[in-house]
Amino acid sequence: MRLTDDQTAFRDELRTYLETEIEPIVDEADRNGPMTRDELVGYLEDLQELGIGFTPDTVHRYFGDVWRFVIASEEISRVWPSLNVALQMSFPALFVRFAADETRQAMLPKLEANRCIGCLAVTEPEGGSDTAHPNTVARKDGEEFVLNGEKVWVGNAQIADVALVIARDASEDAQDMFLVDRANADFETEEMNKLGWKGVPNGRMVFDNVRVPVENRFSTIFGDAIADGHDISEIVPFPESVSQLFFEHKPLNVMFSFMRTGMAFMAVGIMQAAFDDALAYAQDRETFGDPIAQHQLVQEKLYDVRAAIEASRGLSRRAAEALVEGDSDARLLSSLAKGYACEQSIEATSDALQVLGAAGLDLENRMERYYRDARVMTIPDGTTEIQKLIVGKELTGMSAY
Amino acid sequence: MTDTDLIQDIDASLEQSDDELEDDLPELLGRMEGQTEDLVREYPETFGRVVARMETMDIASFVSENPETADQFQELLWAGMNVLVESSPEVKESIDDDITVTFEADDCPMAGHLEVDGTEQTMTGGAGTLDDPMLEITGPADTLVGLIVGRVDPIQGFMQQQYQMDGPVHKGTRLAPIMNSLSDQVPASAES
Repeated sequence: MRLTDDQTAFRDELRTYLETEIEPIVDEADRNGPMTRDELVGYLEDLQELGIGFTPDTVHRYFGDVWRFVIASEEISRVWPSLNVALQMSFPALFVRFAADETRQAMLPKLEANRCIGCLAVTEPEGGSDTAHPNTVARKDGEEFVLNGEKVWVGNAQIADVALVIARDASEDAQDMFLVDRANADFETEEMNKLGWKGVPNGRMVFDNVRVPVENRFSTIFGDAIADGHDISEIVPFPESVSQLFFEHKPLNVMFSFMRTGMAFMAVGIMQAAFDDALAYAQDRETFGDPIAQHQLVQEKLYDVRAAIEASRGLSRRAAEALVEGDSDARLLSSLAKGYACEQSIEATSDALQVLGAAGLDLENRMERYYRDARVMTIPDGTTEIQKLIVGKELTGMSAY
Repeated sequence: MTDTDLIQDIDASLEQSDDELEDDLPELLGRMEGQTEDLVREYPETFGRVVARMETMDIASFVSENPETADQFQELLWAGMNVLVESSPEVKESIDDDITVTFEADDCPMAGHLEVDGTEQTMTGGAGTLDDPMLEITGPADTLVGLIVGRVDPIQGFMQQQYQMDGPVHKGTRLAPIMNSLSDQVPASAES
């Protein structure tokens, strides 16, 4: 697959930004832990100039173009995976455009100014990846829903202005999502520390009788927007081919397919960074009088890492193509790519680290960060085990979960 | 027997429990055959009350136990909808596209269809499937009836996975407001 001139130009512009603005500060920024709200807002401002982000003027160039989305995911992750996660996890902010009046009044000006941070609250302490049966409950009380429950490992939890929370709608006994804006309904958060993705503010969220307007139920947001004459691509700004999959795969699953394809490219970006450093080190570092690149076993490691990158990138591109084409295999391929590429990224960064020997263990060397960031990849957004079950279901038509 | 007698009998049955109503319904539907649309037109309140009672009835169980009346049951529903469309400028105004839909229950032998004509601004439905519909809707009978009579919001129901839809998404999103404008006119739902 060859990038078009536009795609190449976009990638090159993004690379230039990342190399000049992010690369010099990434080691210290990641070591300092979760980025602050102001820091993320600053990065979002920069990225908006490149057509990346969720403001009404930008989102169609980012989410509306699968290739730009995945190029951004790979390139940003090659330099700082945490930035990619914090950026992508902010996507629920775009739904404030069609939310209840009070949410629109409080958040739309922020969204338009690129200062509305979002988060998606899915995982629960007792439920893990079982999104179909959340323990968080929304009970209808007059013109409001009252949310009660707990979410964990939510990216951007502590700095988010709005949270899209998966919960059981008790009034319909069905799963739905609820947009909670912090200006009108507060919720508690608590930072959660983790092995990798150190720059992402992950946290626990507690919803204790949190009231949200009926209009902030996601199915109602959607229905009201359609009733007002808005096109589906305005509400969820995916390309039409991706929206077309809403009927076949359900809207939430399509969103997951989109994000998982981004995750697969993210794993490729991490592997590429590790490979580039390992190759340079192997050509430079000498033992027994020769560059270690001359040693056969080091060349084998480089072979393995490069093979993992090429196979993962090829599969991830196939998943992206399926989204672009509205292929009914899009769900299968996105889970296959996410599962495969993320698992490969652990092996590949481990091999790359091995090439560096003791230097790879040095906390001052970013190779250890690649390894830690890669190790996280197989867990969020559906573990590899869940991806295998999704692929199994798509292949057989039979659900094992 | 006159229409008045039949309507009185329907009204009397509507006063009974769900089980008793389900026992009476096959005979009442049989007596309505051939004049359903006229009856709905003449006695809209009674039709509204029938629709309201469907919220508590187990439709799948009723249709499964009385398969021979499934078509008549649907004819009553669709006749009511056809009359509402004819008499409602709001619904007609909302019809601006050609859409054909087949409804098929996945828990009982019930299938129906809907044809929306954007040029004529008409909407007609009935029992049985269409050969090549633009949209295919499947789900529990209760949900499908809820969609027709306005108890189930088309978008919310789909997003909450209460039913499945197959076909072009833009046709589905065009159908939803039409179904909503129709359900706004159902006497029972208008009261609630």
